[in-house]
Amino acid sequence: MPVLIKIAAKNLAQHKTKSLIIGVIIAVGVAIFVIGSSLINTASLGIERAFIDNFTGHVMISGLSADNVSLFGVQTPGGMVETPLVERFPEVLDWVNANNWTDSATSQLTGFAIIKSEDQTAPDKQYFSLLFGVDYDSYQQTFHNMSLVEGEGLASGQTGILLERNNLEDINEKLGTELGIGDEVLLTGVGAGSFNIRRVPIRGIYIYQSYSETSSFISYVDPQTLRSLKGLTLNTGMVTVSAEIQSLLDTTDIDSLFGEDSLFADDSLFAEPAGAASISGAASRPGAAAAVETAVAAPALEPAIAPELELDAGAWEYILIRLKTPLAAGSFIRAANRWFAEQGIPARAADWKAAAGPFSTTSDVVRLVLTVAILMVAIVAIIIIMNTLVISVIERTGEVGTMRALGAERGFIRRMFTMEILVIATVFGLIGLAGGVLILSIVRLIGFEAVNPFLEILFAGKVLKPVINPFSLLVTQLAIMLFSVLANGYPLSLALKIQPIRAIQND
Amino acid sequence: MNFILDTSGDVHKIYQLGKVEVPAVKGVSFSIEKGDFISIAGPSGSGKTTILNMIGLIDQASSGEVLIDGRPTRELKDRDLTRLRHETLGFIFQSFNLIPVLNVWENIEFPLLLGRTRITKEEKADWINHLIEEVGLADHRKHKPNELSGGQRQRVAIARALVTKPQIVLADEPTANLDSATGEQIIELMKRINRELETTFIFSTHDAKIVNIADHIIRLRDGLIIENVRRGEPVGAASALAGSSAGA
Repeated sequence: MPVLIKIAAKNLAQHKTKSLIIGVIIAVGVAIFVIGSSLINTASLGIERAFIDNFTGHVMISGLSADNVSLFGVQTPGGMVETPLVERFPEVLDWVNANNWTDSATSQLTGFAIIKSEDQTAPDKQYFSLLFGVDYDSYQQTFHNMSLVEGEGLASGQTGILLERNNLEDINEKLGTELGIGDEVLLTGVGAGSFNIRRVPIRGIYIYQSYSETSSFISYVDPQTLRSLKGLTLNTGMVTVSAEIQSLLDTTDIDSLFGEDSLFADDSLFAEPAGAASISGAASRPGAAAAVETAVAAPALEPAIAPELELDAGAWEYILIRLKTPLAAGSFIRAANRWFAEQGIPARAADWKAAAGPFSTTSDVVRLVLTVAILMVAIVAIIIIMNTLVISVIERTGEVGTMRALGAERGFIRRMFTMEILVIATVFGLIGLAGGVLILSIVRLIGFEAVNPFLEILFAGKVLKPVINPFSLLVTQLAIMLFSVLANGYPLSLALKIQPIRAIQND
Repeated sequence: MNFILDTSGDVHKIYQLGKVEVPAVKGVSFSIEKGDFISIAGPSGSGKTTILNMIGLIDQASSGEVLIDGRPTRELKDRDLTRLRHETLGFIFQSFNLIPVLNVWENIEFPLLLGRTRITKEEKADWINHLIEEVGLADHRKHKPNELSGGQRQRVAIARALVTKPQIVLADEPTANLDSATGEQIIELMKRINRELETTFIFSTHDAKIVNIADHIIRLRDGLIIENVRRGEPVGAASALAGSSAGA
């Protein structure tokens, strides 16, 4: 073997130009591969870390749906399917909290709302926001990304909204307001087939420790507000509508129905009921528009129907769990789903990827695009290397023929050419690795900023901090050696066909 | 009599050039004894190189058989032919065919790296150094082929051909690319080694002066043997000694 290495090294030195062409292709290819892999890993790890640490935890438990359920709702093309509730919520939560792997858990509702203000100078403007209805204390114990910079959190039973600082600046700019702590905003949501409007004070302003454009769209509200916006009441059947209400429903005077006096005359409708957490099981979504319309106008109408509109304080769409050991996620999910099946609970445990929904899909798409790009570069490189090696073999026909005439078996020729390509792949592969790592280190030092949401996903944050994984470098080096040997396949087959007589014919 | 190289039946070689068949050797038969110093002579196109290729096992006869040390070679597989070449034959090429990336010492060593012969490092070094001195290149051990003259390169080729201690050395027009003085020196060198090591040398040439140095001359014309003579012996006796000579 040392002789082969010696001959290989000498041959490479002798054919400097070709060795350099192949070597540079390999080095550049490896550098691109290293940088590409790093970007993929950075994006994947960044998205994973951001979602697990900030929004999803390691495991998400949700109700069952025919379509995939993520933290942002049911993933359907139209987006019109309501998110199922976690049934028998207290039992499920007890099971989660009793599990040895559980570090902390919190529950959540997700909805969308239009934010407006009564003081806005641009009356036709509105701001769209993603709302997370959370139990603030357990949420803070589970996720640590949110830091209050002004005001306070959401105390138990207290209504209000927490706005991200940049988000609030955008709202003020758009609506022409100067909203701050204590000011009220109007939230308009759609639930149970109707619009629901709620007025809530701004309780706190926060920042994300790791900010991203995506997370800035999120605002936090108390769960009861979101339930009311989503029309989550304990009403299980048809509402008996009196003649007076029926006449109102039949009216064509919209202002009389949706005037502010009617809408916000009585906040008691939305107050958190005592012992709410113990309510469970009976939750259902009233499908009839009448119920929700009544919710808006109820205080001004017949008091007899009010109890049927009581909000379901036990209605939660998600339980988000942080585990003591992230690696236990798979086992936890299997155990949870097994338990749900045994107990007949229509719920499902899933990992962060399922919880992240469209965002993890974006990550996968980015990964796929980068992988395809790298593969295309690899294929082009292999073709160029192959052609260069073919030329080299043709030029060395006489030499190979001489070796064969002198008694070299085909195995020797195979080993000689393989050794040559391995020497090139090893030397230039290492140069490419070093170059890739150097470029990544420089990029890390410079700290490129993401200028659009796509780059933010790619960078896994505002600033690109590429991850350099030693294992990935090792795999890259081995892969380039394998690719080089594969690229050498056809030229080698030509070399093995060279007969000893070519030693004479090339004289 | 034991022949180190023999032919069974008349050996023919026909090249197929598209649809045209070109006969290069039209039926030759001869035998070679151990220690012979043989010249295959004839003009260009007479079949000298083709015959050398066939007896060197790097080309196959269209009909007839080449026997090396009594062993038929026609049915041998590539691997066996390669081993037989390595163990029995040495080659000296017209264009030297040295491996350009290796120096003199390494070029001579190269055939030893291909075989399975057990030889110690010291024995190998001693033998290679001996051959280098024998061919007069003691001061050029580390030189690359492109740093040597044509005659020096051919001396390296001779040493390389001898390094495996083959029974037969085949040389295809070894002096063709050399000036006449150097060519004569090379042939003299081969002759000396032939006497000292009793290695059989078979070389082709069309140079009349060099032909006459040989002990045994096989003359070809148009793919046929026209003369097969051993120096100092009558033509008839030489022909009988060397077997039938088609066309002679």
